[in-house]
Amino acid sequence: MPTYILKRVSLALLVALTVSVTTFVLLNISGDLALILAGEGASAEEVTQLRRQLGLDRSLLVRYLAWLGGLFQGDLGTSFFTRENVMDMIMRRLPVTLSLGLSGMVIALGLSLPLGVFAAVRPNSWIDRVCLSIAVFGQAIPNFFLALLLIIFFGVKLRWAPISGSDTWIHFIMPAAALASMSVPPLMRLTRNGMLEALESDYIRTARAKGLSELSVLFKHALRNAVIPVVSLSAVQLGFMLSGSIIIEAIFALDGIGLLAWESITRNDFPVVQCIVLMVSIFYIFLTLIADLLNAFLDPRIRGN
Amino acid sequence: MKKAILIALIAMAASIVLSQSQAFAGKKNDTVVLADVTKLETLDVLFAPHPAVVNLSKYYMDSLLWRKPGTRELLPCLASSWKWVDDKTMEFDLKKGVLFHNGEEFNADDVVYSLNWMKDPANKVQIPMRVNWIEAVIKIDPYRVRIVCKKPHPIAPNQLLGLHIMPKEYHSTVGAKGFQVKPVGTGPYKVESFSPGGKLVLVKNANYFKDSPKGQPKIGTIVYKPLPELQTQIAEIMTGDVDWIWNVPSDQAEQLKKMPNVIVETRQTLRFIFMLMDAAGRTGENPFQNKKVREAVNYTINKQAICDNLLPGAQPLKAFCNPAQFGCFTDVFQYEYDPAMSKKLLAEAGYPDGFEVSLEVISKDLAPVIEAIIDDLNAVGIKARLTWLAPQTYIKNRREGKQAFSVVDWGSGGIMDVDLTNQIFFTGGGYDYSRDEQLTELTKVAGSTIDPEKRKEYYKSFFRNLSEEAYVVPLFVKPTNYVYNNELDLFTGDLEWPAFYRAGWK
Repeated sequence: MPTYILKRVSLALLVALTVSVTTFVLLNISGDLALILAGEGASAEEVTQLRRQLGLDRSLLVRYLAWLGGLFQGDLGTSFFTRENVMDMIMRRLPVTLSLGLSGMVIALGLSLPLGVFAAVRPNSWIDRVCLSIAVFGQAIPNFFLALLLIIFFGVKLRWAPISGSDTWIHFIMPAAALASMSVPPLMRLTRNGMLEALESDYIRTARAKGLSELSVLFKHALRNAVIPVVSLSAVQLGFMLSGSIIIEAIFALDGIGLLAWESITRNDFPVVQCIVLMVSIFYIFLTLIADLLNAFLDPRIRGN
Repeated sequence: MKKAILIALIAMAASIVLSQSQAFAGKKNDTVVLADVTKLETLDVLFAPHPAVVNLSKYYMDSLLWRKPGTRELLPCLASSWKWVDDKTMEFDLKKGVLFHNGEEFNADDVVYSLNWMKDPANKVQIPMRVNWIEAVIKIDPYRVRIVCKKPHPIAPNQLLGLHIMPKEYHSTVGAKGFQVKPVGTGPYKVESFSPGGKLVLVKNANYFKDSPKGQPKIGTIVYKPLPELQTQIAEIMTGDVDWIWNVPSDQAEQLKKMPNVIVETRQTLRFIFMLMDAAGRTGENPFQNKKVREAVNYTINKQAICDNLLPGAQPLKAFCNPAQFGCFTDVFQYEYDPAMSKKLLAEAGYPDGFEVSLEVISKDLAPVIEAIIDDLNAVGIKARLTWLAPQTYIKNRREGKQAFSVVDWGSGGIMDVDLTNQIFFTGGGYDYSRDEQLTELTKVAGSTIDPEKRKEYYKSFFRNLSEEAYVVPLFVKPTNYVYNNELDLFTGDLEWPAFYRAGWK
């Protein structure tokens, strides 16, 4: 196991480095930031002066190495636009994105696991049809449209929940529900299919023959095996949620990483975009690693391999 | 067990409904909530020249001068009086007994410190042209200063409007970074709390100096809430959680007129829209070098029909300037919509079948208008290829002489004077696609004298010549729709944002 972890971590670092180089090159060849910052009507001298101030007159390699050097010292650079420390900008917004992502995942799993189990226990029954309809609905409706419907119904008409902001946990209910709507269908289908397969296994027949309760058969024995692909998919879904849903954050005015990424991309704020991309890649790498370790825990045969 | 779970769920739902602790906007709470798409990362306009920051900063900061809303009249604010000493030097007598929000007393040292700090390149303020006209700031005595321009600069008083006076001691202690999140000024409102990217809460300054031309603040609290999505803004104003929004598209503004608790108004802004043509041949040989072609383009666009059908509230422009600006002269030759004349001119110019050209644009909100313009051009044979560009590419192309034909959405730098715009477009710089020596000369002499009557004469000649040469196609003054709480007593006759520091409740 320690060797396995070491190998995975080394690979993760290599992936992160590759992502950072690719992102850095693509961002910096995409355009001239000094022109935008100087504003319309600025003279050529003013643009040159600004370019020098921001260090954009140095070569790509020098700029990348300077950035990498700063990274190892915990300095992620300064925003070209706000002149704020990039680390401060990201850390200020991270709690909102983490809250949104984690609550979205809780809602997604809280709905998809029970629904998937119920659908598998009564295949082709009305329960199964209802669950599959929920899956189809969730896949068909764009989450931004669902978000607007939630605002109209629960925010404007019923006044049950606040429409925007992130002051309290109640502010996260509608955005998390809208975000979860994308994840519930695939997680539910995967749970249902996994359960159907597990319930036909010999060990389940044995468990029932031993006189175990149905709840124990379903959740202690069948679900434990059925949930392995669900864990892997959940990691990917959570990575997506944690990388910030721009649309959900914009609609509900949540000051998170997603919206920061969008704003930084549109105004070519290279240092911020660079760090967000790196952070998101680290999220995915970390979550994939956790998913692998969790699966290894759930299924000892994976550990052996 | 099941009963207990049901009771728990009902209790939770009730607690959610009842425990909402957000402060509702409105007269009841003496709180006005403004919403806009801009997220404020800083409260210092020197580092964030967005309309939201430009407008909000007037609430907690003051300048030497202040423009009366709805007019071009400049009134002394932190100054008690001012005058031009010579054509490069202004002298300001300062008000006594004015206090900053932290108790520091305002005097000449603060003016000298503020303006010198802003113009120092080491401090890297954004948009240096706001301050790089200042040569020196001199303290004459504790309540008198002189500001010397590098050369005669008639719009200097206008540019001072956006240069707020900072408290020397406080600013030099907290530095630029500290000031950006916790600014201290002399304004009618104080910053109570600010979360970068989040809300700004301003409270009434009970000690605001009595002889300010801004008047005394009436509303107790002003909250600024960033809402990036327009639909969310509309939902919030429908519920009454927000009191004021703007830039609402016309179709949605029409729907909101049916609501009983809001007022919907369409007003002009300082922005105007025009088309720029490469008359100087900077992009290479092209049809726009021929005056008849430029005239033909002017005759082609049906401005009135576009205003009536696609831009409610917009007014066709008569000249290359916003009529609200000083120096805007509109008694010039008018190119009325006449596609037959356009075709005739194109034929005379050697383009009987028209020609192909790329039309560069960036303003996505003007998409229907631009499509209508392209239809008009196509109708006379000018096959304009619509090219949407990212802002930096668009600006780069224009600056480097690679933009033969474009639609420009111009904000005039927020200056109520034509000088800044003319200097940018007609003095041989990167944005000059006419390279007309006469226009350049007129711009330079008009911008080198502080005598307003002489300037008007120069601008009369300038705009007449410009219209005759048809270097540009003036299109419209850009309107916007405001939606606000009908309990607000608000003067909306100004351009851009209303001055909420003068507003009250009905």
